[in-house]
Amino acid sequence: MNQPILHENLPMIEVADDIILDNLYADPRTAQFLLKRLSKTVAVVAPGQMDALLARLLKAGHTPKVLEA
Amino acid sequence: MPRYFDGDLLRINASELKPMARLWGGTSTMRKDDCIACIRHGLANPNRVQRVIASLEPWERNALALIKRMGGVIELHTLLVGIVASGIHPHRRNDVYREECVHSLVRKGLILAADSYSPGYVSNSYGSGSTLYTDERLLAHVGFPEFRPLDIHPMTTIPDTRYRLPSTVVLDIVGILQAIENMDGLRLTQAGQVRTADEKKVQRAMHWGEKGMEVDGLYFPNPIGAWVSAFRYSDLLALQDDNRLVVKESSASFAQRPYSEQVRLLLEGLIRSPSWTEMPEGYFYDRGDVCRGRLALTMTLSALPVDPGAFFSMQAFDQALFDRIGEDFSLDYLPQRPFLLHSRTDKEREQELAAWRARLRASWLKEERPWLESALTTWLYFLGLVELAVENGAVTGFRLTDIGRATFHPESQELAQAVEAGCQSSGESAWVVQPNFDVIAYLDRTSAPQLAFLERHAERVQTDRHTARYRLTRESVYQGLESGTALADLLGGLQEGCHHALPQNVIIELREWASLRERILVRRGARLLEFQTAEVDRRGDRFSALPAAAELTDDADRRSPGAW
Repeated sequence: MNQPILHENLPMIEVADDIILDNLYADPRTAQFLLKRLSKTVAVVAPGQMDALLARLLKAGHTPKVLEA
Repeated sequence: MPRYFDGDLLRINASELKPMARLWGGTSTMRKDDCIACIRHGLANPNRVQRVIASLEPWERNALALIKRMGGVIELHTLLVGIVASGIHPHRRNDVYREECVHSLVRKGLILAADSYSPGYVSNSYGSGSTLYTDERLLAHVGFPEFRPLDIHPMTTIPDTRYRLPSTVVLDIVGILQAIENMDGLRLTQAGQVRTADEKKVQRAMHWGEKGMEVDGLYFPNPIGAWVSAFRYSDLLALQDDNRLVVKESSASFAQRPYSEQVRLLLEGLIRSPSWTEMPEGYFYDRGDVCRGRLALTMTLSALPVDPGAFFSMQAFDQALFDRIGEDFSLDYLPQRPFLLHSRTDKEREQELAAWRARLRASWLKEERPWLESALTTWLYFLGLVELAVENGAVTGFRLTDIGRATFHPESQELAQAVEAGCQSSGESAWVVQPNFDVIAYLDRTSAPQLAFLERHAERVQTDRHTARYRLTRESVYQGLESGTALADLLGGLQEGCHHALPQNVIIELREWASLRERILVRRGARLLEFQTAEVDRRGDRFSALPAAAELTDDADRRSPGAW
């Protein structure tokens, strides 16, 4: 029952400063793509919404580093 | 995709197989199975194939070379026009249609009809039997096509001329490739066409007009249609399962290829490209005829005397091209060859033929001559293959440039080496980086890989005849870093092309832009371990209970507990 669960192929966003993630959550245009905040600096992206989130981030002037895994 | 005769031989009649088997040492008394075994055995033996190829007539070898150039598969009419354009073909009797020479290749077993129930039957009508192919094992021993030199004399006086620097040409080719790369490929519609939105993106990246553009004062209609299509039909893009055409190799890697090879790849794509025509809107041609015309034109250009300085008048070249292919090719309707009755006298027959040829020439001057002029001023000029002689705004002649001669004579290593020697970076400063982030590249000093580097990391703002102006922007630098360049390599690359020290403010800003990229990290497919309680997470000794987690343990150990 208490076994850890391994989630694979999970789209995630990780920021250097928690205020960045706060701001992303404060903006409904980006918040809609964030599924679950795991910590102050990490959130899970809604399935299939990664490209939309990236487009929104770029439009907002961010330059996110994109990694495959 | 390589094709082989083996399967199709089973569907050919014994009477047709016997003459085919003769090429491989068979006899007319052989049964069908023996004929097939004899042909298969011969094709499987490379030495035997080599001897058979050597024993062929020059025009037969040439026909195979032409099929090889077209990727092993060719339309009957295209093969026919290609054969006559080479100038090496059997003599034509007045009462025999030219297709006869293609039929003789089938009878000999050198070509078969592709995807047909009767591979031994070829037909010039549309549909089954009009697409031909040759066994890959035959093509492996065939060289480049040969050409009978044109009987044409150079112009005596040369007016003003226009030509494109090789680096300008490569700049455009690499620029298109980079634009497609930045877009992560071209998306296709369900009908297989490139999506209009993606075409527009390439168009914007290249600063091209929608309807047309001017290249050194010469009008080029629908450039986006021409080059997106040329890339599509070249060997530079690959179709993915998600119906997206992606670049097979990066623009940086492509730029390392010899200049003439870069141009040749795109040229071959354009020759096969049916969706664009050289003429402005209002002209409608059969798409297959346009492709045949381009192939015949490039073959006839290959037959020009290899004299670097010789300009040939439009008039003389047009006549020479007509003499080669005029009886067999038209973009419109080819006037019917007269049926010469045996009851007519020789003189009457000659008169009928002369009248027919006069009609052909009149039709040619109306349809094919304007197309020829447009071909020279559009893709042949854009690719830097010809230098044009211009008098009072009109093109009166041309010569093949160094790249043109190397491209149309791939068999000559010397020509290719001469082009490369002339296109090497001179060692002088290739560009200047200015404090306002502009990069001025001197095209005559910039090598293809250096141009690819700029295309990858900076935004091209303007291109002139001898310079190209780029701008380093946060977006362009971000794109470059995202494509895999490290900041140190970006700074090093910029410094390498510039003999002066990079402006300090540029260095500081580029570092700042690179550090901004580290502030948000997006993982497309991360692996995440979820623990039921924080206590278990801290203990970490339950990792081993998960078989799939074993490989994660090392990664997880390196991360701080809150890293996820």
